[in-house]
Amino acid sequence: MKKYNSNILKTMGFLLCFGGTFATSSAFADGHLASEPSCDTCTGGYGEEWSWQISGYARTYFGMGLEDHEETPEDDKFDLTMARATLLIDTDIYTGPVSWKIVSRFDREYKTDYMDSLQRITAGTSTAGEAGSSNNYMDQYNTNHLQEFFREYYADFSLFDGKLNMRVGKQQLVWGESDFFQAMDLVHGFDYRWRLFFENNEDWRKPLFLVNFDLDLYDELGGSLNFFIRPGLDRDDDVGSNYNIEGGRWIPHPYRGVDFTAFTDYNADHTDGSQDDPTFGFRWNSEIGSIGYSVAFLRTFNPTPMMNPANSASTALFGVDGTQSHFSEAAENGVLGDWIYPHINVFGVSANGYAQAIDSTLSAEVAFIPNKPFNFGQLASDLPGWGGIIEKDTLVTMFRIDKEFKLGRYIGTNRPSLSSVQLFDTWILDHSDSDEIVEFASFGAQKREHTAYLTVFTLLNFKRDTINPMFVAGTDLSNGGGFGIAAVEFVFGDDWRVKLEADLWWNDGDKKNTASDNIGSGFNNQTSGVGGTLAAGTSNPLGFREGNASLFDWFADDNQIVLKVTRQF
Amino acid sequence: MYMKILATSVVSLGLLVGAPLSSIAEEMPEGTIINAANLDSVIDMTFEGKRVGDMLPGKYEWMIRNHHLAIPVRHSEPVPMDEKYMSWTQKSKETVKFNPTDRTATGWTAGMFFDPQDVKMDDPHAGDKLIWNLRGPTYGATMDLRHISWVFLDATKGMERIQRWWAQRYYMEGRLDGGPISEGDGSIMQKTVLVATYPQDIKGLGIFQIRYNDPTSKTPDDTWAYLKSVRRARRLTGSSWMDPIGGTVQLYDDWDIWDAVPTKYQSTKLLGRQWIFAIAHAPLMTVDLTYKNTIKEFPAVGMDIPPHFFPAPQVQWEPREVFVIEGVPPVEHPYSKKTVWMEVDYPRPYYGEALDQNGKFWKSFIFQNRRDVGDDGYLSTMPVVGHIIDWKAEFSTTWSSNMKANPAGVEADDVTLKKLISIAK
Repeated sequence: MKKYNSNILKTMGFLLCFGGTFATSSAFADGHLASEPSCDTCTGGYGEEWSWQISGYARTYFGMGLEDHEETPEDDKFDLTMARATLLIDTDIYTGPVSWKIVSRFDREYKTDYMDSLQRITAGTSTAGEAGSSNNYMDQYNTNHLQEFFREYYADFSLFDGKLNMRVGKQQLVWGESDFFQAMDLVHGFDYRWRLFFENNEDWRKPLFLVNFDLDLYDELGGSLNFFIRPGLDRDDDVGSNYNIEGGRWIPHPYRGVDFTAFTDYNADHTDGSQDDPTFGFRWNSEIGSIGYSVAFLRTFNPTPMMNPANSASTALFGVDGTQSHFSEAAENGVLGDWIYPHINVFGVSANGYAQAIDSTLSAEVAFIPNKPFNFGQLASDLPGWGGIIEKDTLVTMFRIDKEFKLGRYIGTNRPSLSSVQLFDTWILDHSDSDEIVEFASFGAQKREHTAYLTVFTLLNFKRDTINPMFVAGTDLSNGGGFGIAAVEFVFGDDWRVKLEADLWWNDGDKKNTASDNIGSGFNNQTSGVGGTLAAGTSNPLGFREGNASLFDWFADDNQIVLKVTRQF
Repeated sequence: MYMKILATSVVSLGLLVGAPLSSIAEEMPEGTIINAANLDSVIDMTFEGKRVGDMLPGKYEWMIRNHHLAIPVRHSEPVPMDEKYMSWTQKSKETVKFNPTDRTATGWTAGMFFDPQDVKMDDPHAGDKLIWNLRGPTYGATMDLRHISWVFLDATKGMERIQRWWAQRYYMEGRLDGGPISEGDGSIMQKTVLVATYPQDIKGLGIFQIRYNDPTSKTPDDTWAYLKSVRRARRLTGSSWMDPIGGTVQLYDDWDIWDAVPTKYQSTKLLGRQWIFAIAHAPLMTVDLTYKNTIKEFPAVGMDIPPHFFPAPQVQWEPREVFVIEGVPPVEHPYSKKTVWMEVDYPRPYYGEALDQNGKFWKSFIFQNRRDVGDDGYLSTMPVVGHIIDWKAEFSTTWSSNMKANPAGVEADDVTLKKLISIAK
């Protein structure tokens, strides 16, 4: 069945890719898709008693790298790293007391020369060669399953005279206040594979099947109680976040073309992180004066996949010393191990308010995660973090100030420019260097007691919001490095939107190199084959050993330009 | 001698009577369309006894001569307000107090704060009092801005794009819909939800605003913006009441031409009282969804006639007597001055103008109004089309709506942040 679906979807994708955007432009131009009664007594605009509406867009994305990548033999500078087409259909159906929502999205990518090059490397590093995972290399970016196509489908209705509002079905539930990073926004995982973190959250959040309740207790207690249960009806692929470990264009350097799924597996049946087990949460929302606040508890999956290491000849081959320990149960993958999403409990508080004295909005969020899992150990191997999983109490804190700058009289913006500064800190309580905790398994830089990110953004709007530049920057205060985004969106009438974006990175010079680069000394002075018992002369797919490169160093060579062309309907 | 006096008196009487008679202007016939071609010939005519030129306030004449504004004229007709509204206005005389020190009005329950018949031209606080009247619930306790769309209109190119929204405003005070006059704990004056439904890139973008019942305006508005792209409501600053609505050229403060209570402004001043041509009987159908996404959807706007953003030829203007009130907004406001021409018998703005921070003419506001009977029988007069014209850019965002007063079934819980989030899906 899956294959059948896949073939249908691939055919649709062929029709869509690069032509779809333009093919749809006239089909929907008359705007007669919506069935809306032409009366002046109905409520109109949204939610007629019995009506339906379809809207959406067809979009193409083109990404062009600005630098050469060590992993590939070709010069990748100015190569297309992404050529993607998306059709999104947003359907609203109103049937009296129940309203329905269906958000379907079909993604298809053209395999650019750059992606072809990565696929060829993948074929070389995959244990199964061409017949292995590399054979379906583009599947990581394409829509291949009906559950991927139907991203959201749910019903809304009210009970007890509107006291209890319910949303049942596959949906996105967002808690928390933070931008860019997640403190309480942990109900869902994110798919970072196709665009890392540059898109709107709703586009790469992974929807889940939830029964979501909102109980209005304003009359009784001055607030509302939102609670949900995820009964465990989702696919294994739908929980946790994806970090492109397939060796695609957003796996950190130097792993482009290294398909970790060829020698590791995602395991969503782990005893401490089973998809089948229900997850749930409660959140109380209220106000004290004009200060809005929420208090929440959430049981969910750790968003970052954790390596539950195998103890095998393969791990030994890469220098893991055999002291690694599994997390609750042995890895099912006997080569290198399993990626698992252990359950975590999160206790959170958020608050927001307007400070008239500085004409700014202040927001704060604190999330306490007892026993949050981290990979640790084996820092001197090719597989740092493969020592196992250690649990540490963790406190995540966000503080943000938003202000609107009235720049119109100086630079001609047509409305105040929303600008924001946010500090986001992750504090590992009882941190010890001897724990050898890493940010992400396979990178040897130790995670510090505090990992703090400072981000700023400002949005500008010109000519009645038809020219919209935006600037975003972020830096890792603990480890150095950062990112910057400069983008401008052009609005053409009701239908066309064009966005040009530069995604830029800077780092402090730390870098994990590929094994083909014979550079560095000491810890870095690893010629091929000395990692463990890897045969001399064998190219090490895991690159040189390195213990300093942190998050923004991983993407230091990924400066790029992205063009998005959207035709709305 | 007596004969001489008598003769002189007769001559004088003849002069007294004869002079006005000789200068009585020709009455302009009903149905005349005042435009650039005939303005010089009709400007000194009278209509309903008033000189035509005197009924062209502010930039009217400039718009007629230079920008093709055409004014089809009809006879005026009284527009009675709801009896409950008028009787509460009389009761207010006994309870409402204006406090000159802080320009606040206290003791108000419903109706107008101040009977406009009692407002004297030489009252230094006349402007404040009349604007207080405007900021009570003037056209019902609940306003449903049904089918509201902002159409982006370029003076040269015509329709550029459409933004469709869903909006309701719910007054917590001064309600005359048969239910409680005051709801809640008395701390909130009104709540507003405004959500975009089209096109796709702004669908689900909306605001929820609470304006508190604080006559001093020291308590800032609470405003949240819901951003569907991140599925999260974000608190906005308390000064967002003076921000533009979406990408339009209309500020939230231009809602009803003047949305701020007097104490949000530095000062107000009653400039005078005059008769103007205004639109008090707009067409009953102002959004026709049978012609969705075409200019025919908006039959009260002349989108096919350059400059594309004035009232359509079918819309008739009539003489209305108005107060002319000028306000000076706070320094951070985009305008340095705003002037409104508002009906004398009740607070219904017909026309407005705004100056930029350099004191130069920037925008004009032409609002089309008409009678409406609420679902509860409440009799009101309300704006159904608002032409907000940015003259620097020669561009307008003109909204049209099948506005409805006191829609049945809408309660305070229906105009909330939760409601915004549920709509903006």
